[in-house]
Amino acid sequence: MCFLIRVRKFTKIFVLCIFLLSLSGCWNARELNALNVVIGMGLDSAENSNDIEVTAQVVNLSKSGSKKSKSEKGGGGMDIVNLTDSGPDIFPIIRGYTHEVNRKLYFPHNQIIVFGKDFASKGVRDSLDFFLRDHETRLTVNVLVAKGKAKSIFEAEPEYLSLPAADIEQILEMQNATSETATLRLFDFMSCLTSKTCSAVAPLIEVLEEGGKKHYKIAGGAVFKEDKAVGELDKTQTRGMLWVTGKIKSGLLRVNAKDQNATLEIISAKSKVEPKINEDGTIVFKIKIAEKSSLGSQEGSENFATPENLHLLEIAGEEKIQEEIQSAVDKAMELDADIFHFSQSVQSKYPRKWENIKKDWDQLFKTIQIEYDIDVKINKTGNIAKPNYPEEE
Amino acid sequence: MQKEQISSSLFLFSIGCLIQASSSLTSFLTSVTKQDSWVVVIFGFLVSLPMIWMYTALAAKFPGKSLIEINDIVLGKVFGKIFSVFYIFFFFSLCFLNVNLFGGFVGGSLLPDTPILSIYLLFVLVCTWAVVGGIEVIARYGALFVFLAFATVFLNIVLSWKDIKLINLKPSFTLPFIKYVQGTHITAALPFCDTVVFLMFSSNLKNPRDFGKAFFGGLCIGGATLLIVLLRNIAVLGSIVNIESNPNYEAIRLINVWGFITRMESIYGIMLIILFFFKISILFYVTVKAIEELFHLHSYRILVPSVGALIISFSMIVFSSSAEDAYWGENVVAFYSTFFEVVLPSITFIAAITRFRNRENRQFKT
Repeated sequence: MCFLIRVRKFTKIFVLCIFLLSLSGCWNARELNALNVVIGMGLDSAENSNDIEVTAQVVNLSKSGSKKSKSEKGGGGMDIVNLTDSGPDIFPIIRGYTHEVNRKLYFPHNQIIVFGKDFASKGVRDSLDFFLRDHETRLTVNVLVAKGKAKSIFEAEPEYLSLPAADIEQILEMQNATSETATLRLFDFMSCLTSKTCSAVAPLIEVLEEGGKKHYKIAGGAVFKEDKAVGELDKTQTRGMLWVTGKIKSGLLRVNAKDQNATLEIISAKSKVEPKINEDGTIVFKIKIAEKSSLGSQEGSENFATPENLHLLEIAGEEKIQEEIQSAVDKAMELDADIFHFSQSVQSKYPRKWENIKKDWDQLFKTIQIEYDIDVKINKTGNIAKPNYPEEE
Repeated sequence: MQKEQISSSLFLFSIGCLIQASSSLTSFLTSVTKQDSWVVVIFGFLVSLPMIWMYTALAAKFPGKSLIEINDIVLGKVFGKIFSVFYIFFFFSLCFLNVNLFGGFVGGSLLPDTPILSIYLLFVLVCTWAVVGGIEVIARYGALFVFLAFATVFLNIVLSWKDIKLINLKPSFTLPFIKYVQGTHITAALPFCDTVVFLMFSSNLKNPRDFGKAFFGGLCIGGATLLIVLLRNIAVLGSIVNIESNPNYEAIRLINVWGFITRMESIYGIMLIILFFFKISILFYVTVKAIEELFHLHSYRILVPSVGALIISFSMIVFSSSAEDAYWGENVVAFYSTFFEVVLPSITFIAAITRFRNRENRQFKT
């Protein structure tokens, strides 16, 4: 009997030791020095064939040890390496980097995906499948379109930025200050691609050179129709689109009243779009914008900080907003791309009629009419009550 | 062997926890009915109510007797045993199907390179420990984690507030009618009628009269969680909800509050493991308990390691790919479950009514 009890005790301890082994860490664990952390991906068309050229901007976390550097740039102790390769399909290219680098790429910290202009105009849907299906990639990455090649965006490493791709993402967040740039997450792009009538707008990025130094400029938007980039929006048109989709966070409106210029700072803006289908089949969209701003600066001796003049400024502001929206609508009609998601508002208000008209949406979109109902309110006028001019005698 | 007793509130929360475990992996629902999945949940709940009433009536007619014993009394020695064998197979299949579902998530999204056997082995090993502990242990665990699951669901909804767009719930009611029928069938069969396993516990209740109330209460808790989770997923994901193989996971992955509250899917993964541990322990326990009662064994503890090993091996071979799993979930599982959850209990119930109409409160000895 004692022997059996001892056997049982021994078995229990033995099994517990086996359990202890399983606590030593997970099978999949990759230490930091085994990771090639990707912070930005660029996709281009290869020059002479139908291939895709993929650029991966990778942070090399171990400073000593083997470094494969095609272009070395260190800021803050980080080594950035741009890995470029081309091939017919994305997943083989990414896996194929292991022929050159000693680690597999690690995607969860990827911040941006940049499409080159040529690549975007050929259609991006199939190459996105890898980013949607893989378990490491995330849907919150930002999607951008480069004015030239995406590779040039990653290879131009401005000196003041330590992690270019991560800093591009921060510049994108800064765009809220002017609201003249579209922003697009991979998730929003994916939702747009599953619908036949939705058009996504991705921010445009380019590299400018001044005095031998390069820097980035992010402004405006690239319009996608289905999955091909068909045109560009400049800053004014992009802001017009953002007015309608309600994504304005801040910005400046330059208005003119009584022959003097003034600048209004946008504090908040709300928008509402109401579709109405008339009996003859035409669709009218009533766009309601309610915006609050403050007087940022003014020129001239006429004091705008009086109720009557503020009212004039408000009217001027409403006209300016209407101009911006109209320019966006004109460009959207020219490109025949529904960047305002009007189709979604029609579908939610008239679900039965939408089933009938959705095949003709492309033609219908060119004939829509817009009614504006814009309301600007100027609340604050700043620290000074009168402009810096001597008193009139 | 001393009979284990659980109070009716523990029973109630256990049922709630079982349904909450099903609400964490809902891909087979959203792939059928897309953005109307929340409507289908309400219909499925209503459709499952008659079934629940039938289970309650069966339990009330034979208080203190579990399903296997009721089969023996009502259908006679031979047919009762045949029915019991069917039930045992059903409980066993539920168990390894759920282990496979669990392994699909953990092995696909969390630990992709790990061999699936090690995940199953370690998980079922811990479930074995819980099963040997008995129903009191498992029910207490379930009752505790119902609240934690609620709290996590609430937290995730608050964090994904700015991603929720109610316009994503439209267009409503535009799918062909047959899809709604299919969706209701799937929802009623599992998760709601999976609770037929709790008919095995009617002998463990301290107060058998509370069976019906506790059952209904637990169903409401679980159904509410399922509805809220589905509504949130559809509102966040919109038109891609039927593409994603795990919409709950993707919706939580999108949470990004103020730039630093991100990657909340780790909490989701932990809660899923917690809830699935409960579900698999209960199903495992029910299987061994049913075998014990069928063969009048002294104690079920002898069977536990063998059944555990069988569960691991079956869950590894049941599907050849996740595509087959998805096909099974959309098209087959509703009919499979209906047979065991509706047809067999109905036969038992009708036999019980016709044979024992006037002997409501007599105690039967097997």
